[in-house]
Amino acid sequence: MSVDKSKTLTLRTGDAAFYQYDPLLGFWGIPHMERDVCFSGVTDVVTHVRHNNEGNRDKDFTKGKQDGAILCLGGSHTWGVGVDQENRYTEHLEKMIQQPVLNLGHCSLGLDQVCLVILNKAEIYRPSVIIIEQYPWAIHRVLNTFVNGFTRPYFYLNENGDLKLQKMSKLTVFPVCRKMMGAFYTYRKELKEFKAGIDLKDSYDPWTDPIFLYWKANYYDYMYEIVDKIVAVIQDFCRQKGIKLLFGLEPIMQQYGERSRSSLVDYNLPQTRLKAILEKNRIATVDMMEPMVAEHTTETPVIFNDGHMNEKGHGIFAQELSKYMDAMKWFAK
Amino acid sequence: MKNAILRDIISFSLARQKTFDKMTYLFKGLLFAPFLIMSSNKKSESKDMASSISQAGDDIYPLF
Repeated sequence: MSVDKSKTLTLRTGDAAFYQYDPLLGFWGIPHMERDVCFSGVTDVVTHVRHNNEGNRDKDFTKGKQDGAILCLGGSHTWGVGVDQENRYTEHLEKMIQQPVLNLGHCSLGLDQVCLVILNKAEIYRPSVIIIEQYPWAIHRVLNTFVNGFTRPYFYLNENGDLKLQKMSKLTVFPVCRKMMGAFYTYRKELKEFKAGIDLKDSYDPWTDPIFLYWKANYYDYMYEIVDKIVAVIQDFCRQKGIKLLFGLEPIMQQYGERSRSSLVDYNLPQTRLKAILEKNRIATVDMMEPMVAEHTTETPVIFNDGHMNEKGHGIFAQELSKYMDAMKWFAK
Repeated sequence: MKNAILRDIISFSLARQKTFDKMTYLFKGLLFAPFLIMSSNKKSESKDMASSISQAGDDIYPLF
């Protein structure tokens, strides 16, 4: 396909060109958006991106016609940063298991928003299986109330430890209100981090991200408590609706490299803690760490430089999900 | 509470590296101070409440 480079959109981290305000989730994909995209810092290859009638990077959806499908949710890995649509794990999975697969992944989507999508949209999509792709580092998103220019709803724990949802104000429909609230939320978050001795702005180094640091673990205890409650809600909802639930955890960028020289810096920490939470809640999980790291070489990597799965990575991801579902006979003929 | 928040705002501003950032963060902090104090007060009040119903936000499915 020939590409008109003058019309190619260059996307950088945090660009929200494909997103619009959503009153429930903060942001969601713009329906029917279609552009040739260059993902700056990821790959030089231009990728064609198209959103369907629901604002998802997926084939068009008609309610009632895809009941019983596998619904895949997650962040930019599921949405497919840097890869063509047909090379994502969802498309591979569809071919492997011969079942329809729906892709509702979106860039910067947090596990909390995934929960809200499930609670509010399961009736529309009526899936038989929900797969949640999770890049373990990204669970910090449950602490963010303002991302990429959009405010988000967020969960918090009250004084009794009950999970509560703070919905967005109706004023957030106005961009100027979003900007003002966003500025406040950003300041409040940075102040909280400052008091905990965390600086994610001026001196951020992905290799010493505080989420990996044992001496900052206390700061993130609250985050893991919220995640624990959120996955319990998702699990309970799926159980009540007779939907099978599966988490797919891929390794983060730092886990492909050498181990940290300090035993106090553990790149496995978010994954370890997330797996413990999923295990505690008895949620089926496929840990992609071993197969993906084993297949990753300098000549044929499974990820781009920024940690997003490339075509090879998506293939392995789909393979492992397919193996698990076959072993569990979820679609036994 | 109010004094503690103001102290935090000032410390936070002074911790910025550039002078321009120090001024910007001080300005932001003073602008947002009333909201920070309000949300702190809400948290303190809710701790005193016997009921588990929060002043803001909804219960989430299912009710734990």
